Amino acid sequence: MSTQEYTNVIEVENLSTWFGSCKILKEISCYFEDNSVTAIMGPSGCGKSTFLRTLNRLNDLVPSFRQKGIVRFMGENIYGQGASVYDLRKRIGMVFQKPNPFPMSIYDNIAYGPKLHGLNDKDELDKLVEGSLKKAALWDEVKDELDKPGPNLSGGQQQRLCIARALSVNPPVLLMDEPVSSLDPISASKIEELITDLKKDYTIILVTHNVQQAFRVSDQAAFLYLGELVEFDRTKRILEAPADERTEAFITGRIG
Amino acid sequence: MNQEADSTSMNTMDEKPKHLMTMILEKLKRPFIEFRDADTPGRIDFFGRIGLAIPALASTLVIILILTFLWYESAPIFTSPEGGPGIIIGPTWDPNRNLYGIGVFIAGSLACAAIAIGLAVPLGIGGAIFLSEYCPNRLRVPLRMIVEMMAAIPSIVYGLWALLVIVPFIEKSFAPAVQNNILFSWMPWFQGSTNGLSVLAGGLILTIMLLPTVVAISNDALQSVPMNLREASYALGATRSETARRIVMSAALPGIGAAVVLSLGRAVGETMAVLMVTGNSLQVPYSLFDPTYVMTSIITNQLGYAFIFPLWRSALFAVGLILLIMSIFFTITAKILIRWGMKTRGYV
Repeated sequence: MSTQEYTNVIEVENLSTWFGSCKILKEISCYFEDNSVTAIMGPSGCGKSTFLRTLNRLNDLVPSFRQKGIVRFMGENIYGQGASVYDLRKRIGMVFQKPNPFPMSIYDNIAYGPKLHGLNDKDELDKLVEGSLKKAALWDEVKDELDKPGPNLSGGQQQRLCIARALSVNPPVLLMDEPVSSLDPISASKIEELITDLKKDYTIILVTHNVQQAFRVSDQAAFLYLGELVEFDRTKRILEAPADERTEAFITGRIG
Repeated sequence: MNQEADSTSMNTMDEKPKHLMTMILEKLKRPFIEFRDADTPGRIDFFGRIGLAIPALASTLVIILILTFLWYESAPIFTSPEGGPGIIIGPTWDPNRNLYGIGVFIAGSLACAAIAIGLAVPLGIGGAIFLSEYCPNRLRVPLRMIVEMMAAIPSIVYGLWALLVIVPFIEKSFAPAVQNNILFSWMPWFQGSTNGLSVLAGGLILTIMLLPTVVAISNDALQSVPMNLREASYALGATRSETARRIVMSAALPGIGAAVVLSLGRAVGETMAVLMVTGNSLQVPYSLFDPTYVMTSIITNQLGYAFIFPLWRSALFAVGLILLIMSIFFTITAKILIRWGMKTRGYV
């Protein structure tokens, strides 16, 4: 991809998506600033995950998926002609709702991505594994047992391992799909802290249905309801003075 | 169960050490004491447990009975001066001269099984990967049905087909083609004239018979790999084939190992089809085109004549015993490898 002039790392214009004949997202336009955390909120089934998966084209795996509109990543339309989906996914990392470490050692879990993209030097891999684990605040807990299988870690450690794995290919953007919803409160708060730390170097887009969490970690927030982007602004503004009654209903817990 | 075992061992630590027999007796008595003290639902549960233990123990018992019986029947040949343990590597089988070397059958069986496994495992895994990773759903269902139907074809039918198709193919097309080609003709495993009945024909028909097992079981293992592992791999920028090879196959490897174990057992144990196409000639195969005699064939072919000659008969039972020991050995080795594979993947 050539480097073009751009103001925001990801810009979405009039994005609509369908699974078969079912329209999931309806004309969404928004943008994600460099080094910020954006929370995407909304009740279950409103299209949050679909939206996130549209940004790294993971929905392309579903045969019935269609989309219309423009998504610009660093100034370039990711659905445009000649755009490489593999290059895109390498530069937009993703963390899933359920921790999904590969059934291999902790080391191999993290080395998988860099090896995939042609890094085979043992010393550099070692350094990269250490660096990624440190960024994910997991290094101190696992540094003596890197050859232990990843799935043997606890749930919270597994999720941080998945974050480290996503960071291993050094993507500028990190997508997180409800990364703490399957974890206990202590692990969850560790990961929230981690998100705040990672903001310095990465642009994070976080899907959540937890309003408090969005308030704690995010700078911007988007509220999706039934596939529509109802509100998109600074998190503080949305949560303190929601402009739309549906947002207010969600924040106060009447829908969701 | 573990807790009970722990508590008994604790008790013995506290009290004075008991005799081993008393401990075993106490263990045996415990269910009856439990039964006496239990209420009605507890008693029904007790009978249920016993009822389920019987079939579980039965299979173990059958294996032990078969081993004992085979050992009992084959003991004469192992203890007699004509035989002895050396028959296992003895190259000459001639009951008329009291020579009972069964090494030739072991070599024949291993050669056939090696060809079959060497071809069926890579082909079968390839097919399974195609079915689970690349094949559209509409095609997968009929393909799987056909593969499972292949497994249900009686082996004698495979044998008939091999006799009419594979054997002439080797004689008329394959052998001349490789032997007249300067690139291959020097290789030792392509030497000798052939009438098609050969170790290669046995190996090929075994390959075809093993394929459905390998494909079906590997495919099950591959499809049970969670979708979210594939997604994690794609999200890192992996292509479909990288994901299939490095994530899905690696995750399913213990299951694929189970497929290999099953086919190994069948490869050395298969009788009819192999008997029909290997030529049944008493020689160790040095080339793919040499005829051979496998362990199962010799038992089937000669047991009828051998029954009145105790040593001959006993030698045939010895072949059966070694066959069983071989498959047990393969199974245990493979199980250990699978166990290790599951450990390194964090499944157990």
